[in-house]
Amino acid sequence: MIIETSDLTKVYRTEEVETTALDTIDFHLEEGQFVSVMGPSGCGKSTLLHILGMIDNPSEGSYRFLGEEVSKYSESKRAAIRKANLGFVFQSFNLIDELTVYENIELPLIYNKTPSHERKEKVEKVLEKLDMEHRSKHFPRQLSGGQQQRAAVARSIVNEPNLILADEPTGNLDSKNGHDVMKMLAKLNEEGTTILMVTHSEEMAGYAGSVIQLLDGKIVTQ
Amino acid sequence: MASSFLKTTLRNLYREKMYAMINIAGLSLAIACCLILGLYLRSQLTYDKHNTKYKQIYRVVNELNISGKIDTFAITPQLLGQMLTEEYADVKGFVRFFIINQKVLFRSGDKAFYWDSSAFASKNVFDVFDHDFIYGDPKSVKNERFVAVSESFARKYWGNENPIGKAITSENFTAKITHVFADLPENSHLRYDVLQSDDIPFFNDPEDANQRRQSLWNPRFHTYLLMQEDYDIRKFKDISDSFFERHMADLGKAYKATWRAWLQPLADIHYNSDVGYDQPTGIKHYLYGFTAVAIFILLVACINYMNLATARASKRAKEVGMRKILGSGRTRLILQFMGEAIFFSLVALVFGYILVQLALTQTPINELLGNSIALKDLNEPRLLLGMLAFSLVLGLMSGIYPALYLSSIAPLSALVGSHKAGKGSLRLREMLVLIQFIISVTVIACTLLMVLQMRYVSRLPLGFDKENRLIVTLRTADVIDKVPTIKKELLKNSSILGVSLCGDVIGKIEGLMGAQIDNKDGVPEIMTVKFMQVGNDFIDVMGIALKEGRDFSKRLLTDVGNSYIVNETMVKKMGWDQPLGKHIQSGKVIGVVKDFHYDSLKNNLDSFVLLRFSGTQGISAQNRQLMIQYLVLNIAAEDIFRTLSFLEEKFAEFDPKHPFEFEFLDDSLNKLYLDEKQQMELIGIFAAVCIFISCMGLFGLAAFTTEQRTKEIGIRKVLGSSTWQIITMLARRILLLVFGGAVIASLMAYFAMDEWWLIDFSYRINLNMNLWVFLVSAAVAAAVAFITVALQSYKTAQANPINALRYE
Repeated sequence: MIIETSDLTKVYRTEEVETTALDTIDFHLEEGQFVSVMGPSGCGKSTLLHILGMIDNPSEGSYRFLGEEVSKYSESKRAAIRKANLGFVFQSFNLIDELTVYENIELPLIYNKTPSHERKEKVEKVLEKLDMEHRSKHFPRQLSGGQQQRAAVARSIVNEPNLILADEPTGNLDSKNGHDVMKMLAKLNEEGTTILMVTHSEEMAGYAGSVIQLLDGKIVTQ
Repeated sequence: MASSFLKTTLRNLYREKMYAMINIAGLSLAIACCLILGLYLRSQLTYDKHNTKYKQIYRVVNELNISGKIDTFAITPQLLGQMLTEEYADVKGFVRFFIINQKVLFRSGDKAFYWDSSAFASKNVFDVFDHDFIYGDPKSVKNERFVAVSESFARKYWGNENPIGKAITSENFTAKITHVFADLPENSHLRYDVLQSDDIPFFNDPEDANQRRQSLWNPRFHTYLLMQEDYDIRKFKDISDSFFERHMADLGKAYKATWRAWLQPLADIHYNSDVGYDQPTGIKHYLYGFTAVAIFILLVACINYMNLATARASKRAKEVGMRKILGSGRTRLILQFMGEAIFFSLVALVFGYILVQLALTQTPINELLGNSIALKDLNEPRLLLGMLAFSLVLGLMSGIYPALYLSSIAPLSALVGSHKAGKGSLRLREMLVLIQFIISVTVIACTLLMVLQMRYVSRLPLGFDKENRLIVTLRTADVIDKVPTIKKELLKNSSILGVSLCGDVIGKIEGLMGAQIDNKDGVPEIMTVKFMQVGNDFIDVMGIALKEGRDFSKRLLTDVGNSYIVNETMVKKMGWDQPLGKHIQSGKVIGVVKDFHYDSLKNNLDSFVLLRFSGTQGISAQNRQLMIQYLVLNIAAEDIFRTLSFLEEKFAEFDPKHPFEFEFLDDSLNKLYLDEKQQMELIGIFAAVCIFISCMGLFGLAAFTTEQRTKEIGIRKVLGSSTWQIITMLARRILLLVFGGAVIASLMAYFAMDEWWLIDFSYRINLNMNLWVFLVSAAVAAAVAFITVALQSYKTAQANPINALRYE
C-alpha cells in the first residue's frame, strides 16, 4: 500500500469564513494502480492531490505514505520524502523558465544529490524515452504546450519515483496533445509506475484503471 | 551547484534587464560614492601618520593668561624645545619650525614666483619628520646649512634638471639648493615647499640671561618634542608647571600673567587642535557628516535592491515553489538568492571602480576633497582586497532579506497562481521606501540650508565696503617708505578713489598686542587685544563708519604711536562711559568706529584697536628686507582691467624687484569660507546621488506595481476611470509615504544643521525663520517621486482596457 488515509480533512479558515475542502476522506492507493480523481470545479480534488503529494498538510486525520504517518510532518521532512518518492505533472507545466529542458529534467536528480555522471545517464535515458533529445537545449518558452508537458512528464519520472501525481495534466492542451500525454502516462503505468491523476475530463479519465468521484470534499464513488 | 546558480542568475538578469540595470546602477553609484568617501576619510584620519615616528612626536601648545584674559597659541617661545630637552628626562629631543605665513618671492635667473608655504627648521628635522628625498643626502645636514625644496618647486624653476647647487634668491638673501624632497603628502599638517635650516642670525638664540627670560614670553616657533612612544600627555602638566616656576614666574608677576603648556600627539593635530595662531586645521564633525552620507547612500542602494527583489517575488514564486516541490531545501534557496545579490554586488563593484576613475579624472570632485585622493591609491592591493570584501558584505546585506523572504514562499504558491505579498512584506517595503525618502529629503534640506547660510554670509553687512577694494602687497621697508609718493601718484588716476596703508588684510588679522589699557575706573591694566596698523585714510577708504571722535589726522604727527581708534565692542567690554581720552599704553583713544568684521564670520567680534602705522625707522637692516605691508585701494567699478594695467605699470616703477602682487578683497574674504563652500558642493553632489538612486528604485518598484495591477487598471478603465485618475491612484500611496518621510526628515535635518554645520558660524541663519526650506525639500522629493511613478504608469494607464484584461 503506497497511500492510506483515514478521516483526512482540510479546512480553510479566514477571518469570517470557514471552508471545508476535504471532509473525512478515507482513501488508499496500491502499487501499480492508475487512479483518476474526478469531480466538478471546487470539489476538492486538487486539494486532495496537494495533500497526498505532501505539498500541503491536512487539518485533521491520518495520512500514511509507504506505512509512515506524514500528516503532521514539517515542510523539510515532507520535502525529503517528496524528492525521494514522488513525481509531479501539473496543468500549467510549471517548468522553470530560466532552465533548459535538460536542466529542468535534471533538477530532481540534483536535489537528490545524484552524482553528475549518473545524472547525465538518467536524463539522457528519459529524453530518449520521451523523444525529447532534439529539444534538450531549448527553453520552455521555445516549446509548444504539448512539448512542455512532455518535458514535465520526463522530469517527473527521471528519479524513478514510487508515485506520479498529475494535476489536470491535459487541462492546457488541445485534444491531440492531451491524448498523447495520456498515452505516455498509460505506458508508464504499464511499465509499473503508480499514477494518481486529477481531471475533470471523463475522456482523459478513461485512461485510468479506476475512477474516484469527489463532490463537496467527500468521496461519493470509488 | 555554483555553476548552476550562476547560470540561473545570468539568465534571470538577461530576462529582467531593466531591473538588473536599476540594481546594478544603484549599487555601482553607491560603491563609487563609498569608495571616494572612504579614500578621503582614510586620508583625513591618517594625517601625519606617514612619519615613522609619529607616535613619539608631540607638538607643544601653550596659553597666556594676562589679567584673566586667556589666549592660546600653537606657537611657542624660541628656547622652549631646547630648554625642555636639557632639563627633563622625559623629553628625548625637539624640532622647531618657524613657519612663514605670507607669500615669499623666490627668484632664480629670470624666473620669479611667489610661494605660499616656506619655513625654517632646526637641523635635526629630517631625523624626526620623514621626507622622501629625490636629491641630496639627509645625513649631510649635520655639517652644513640646508636649503631643501619640494619637487614642485624644483620643477618650476629647473624642469627635470637636478637643481642641487643652483642658487635661489629671496629679497637680499641668496642660497644654494642642497636637497630636493617629494611634495609633502596632502595629509600633512605641516606644509612647505621650501625648508631651510634655522642657523641664520635672524634666529640666533639670545645669550643674555634677561633677554632669554623675556623671550620666553614671546611665542614665535612651532615646537615639536620627541617623547617615548604613547607618552601619557597628562604627565606633561608637571613639566609645564615646573618650567613656569623655574623660568617664567618672576616676570609673570610683573606682567600679571601666567603661562602653561600641554602636548598634542602629532596625529591629533589636524583634527583635534583648537588653539590660536595655528596652521589651518580640519573640522572633525565634517568627517562625521561625510561618514553619515556614505552610510546613507549605501543604505539607499541596499534598500533599492531589497525592495525590487521582494516586489518581484510573485515572478519568482512559481520557480521557488517548484524547486521546493522537486525537493530543494530552504538553505539551498537562501544560498541561491544570496548568491544573486553577491553577483550583482560584484558586477556593481567593477562598474563602481570605473566610475571612481572617471569621477576623479573628469570631474572636480577630488579638488573639492582637497586633492586628498591619488589615482594610484586605487591600485593598492590592500584596497582592492578591501573593496572585494566590502562588495561581498554589501551583497550579503542587500541579499539577506530578499533571500529569507523568497525562500519562505510555500510550494503551494507555484500551483495556486500568482504569489500575493502578505500585508507584512508590503508594509516592510513601504517602510524601506520611507527610509529612502527620509534620507534623501534630509540631505536635500541640509544642502539648501548650507546654500542659505553661505548666501547669508556673503550678504551680511560687514561694516566696511568690500566691493572694488584691491589689496596690493608691499615688500621691504624701502618700498613701504615710498607710500606717500605712491599714494600721490596713484590718486592722479581718476579711477583710483582712495589709497591707504594697512598692516594686515581684513579677514586675516593676526596682530595681538599686550598693552596697558585703562579699565572702566581709569586704572591701567595689562591685557591683550587684537590690533591693526593702518594709514591715515583707512577708515575712509574702507567705508567704515566713525561713531565718535575723529579719524587719524594727516597733519598731526603726534597721532603716530599716541592715538588709537577702537571699536564699539571694545567700549562695551571695557565698560567705558566716555571712551575718548582713555589710555592705551602711552597714548589715548581718539575715536570709536562702528563694529566691522575684521575677522571671519565664524568668529565673534571682540575688542579691536586701530593704530597709525609707525613707519620703518628703527627696524634692523635684516628685518627691513622682510617687512610686508598692504595698500588697500578703492577703485572705480568701470574698466577695471585698464586700472589694473595702470597699477601694474606704476608698481613696476615703484618696486622693480617684485612682480605686482594683488588680490580683490571680496575674493580674499570668500576664501575664508572656501572649506564650507566645498562641503556644501560635496553634500549637494551626494544629495543628488541619494535622490537619484532612490528614484531609480522607485521607478523599478512603480513599474512592478503597475504590472501587478494591470488587470485592476483594465477593469477601472472599463468602468470609466480616466488616465489621470489611474496615475494618481497608483501614486497616492507613494506620495503619502514621501510626505510622512518629509516630516521626519525635516526634524533630522534641523537637528543635524543646528548641532553640526552651523555650529562653526558665529553669525548664522535662524533656522526657525527658514522652515520653508523643509517644505521645499519635501515638495521636491514628492514631485520627483510623482513624476517617476507617473512616467512608469502612464503607458499602462493609457493602454486599451482589453489588453489589460487579457493579461492573465
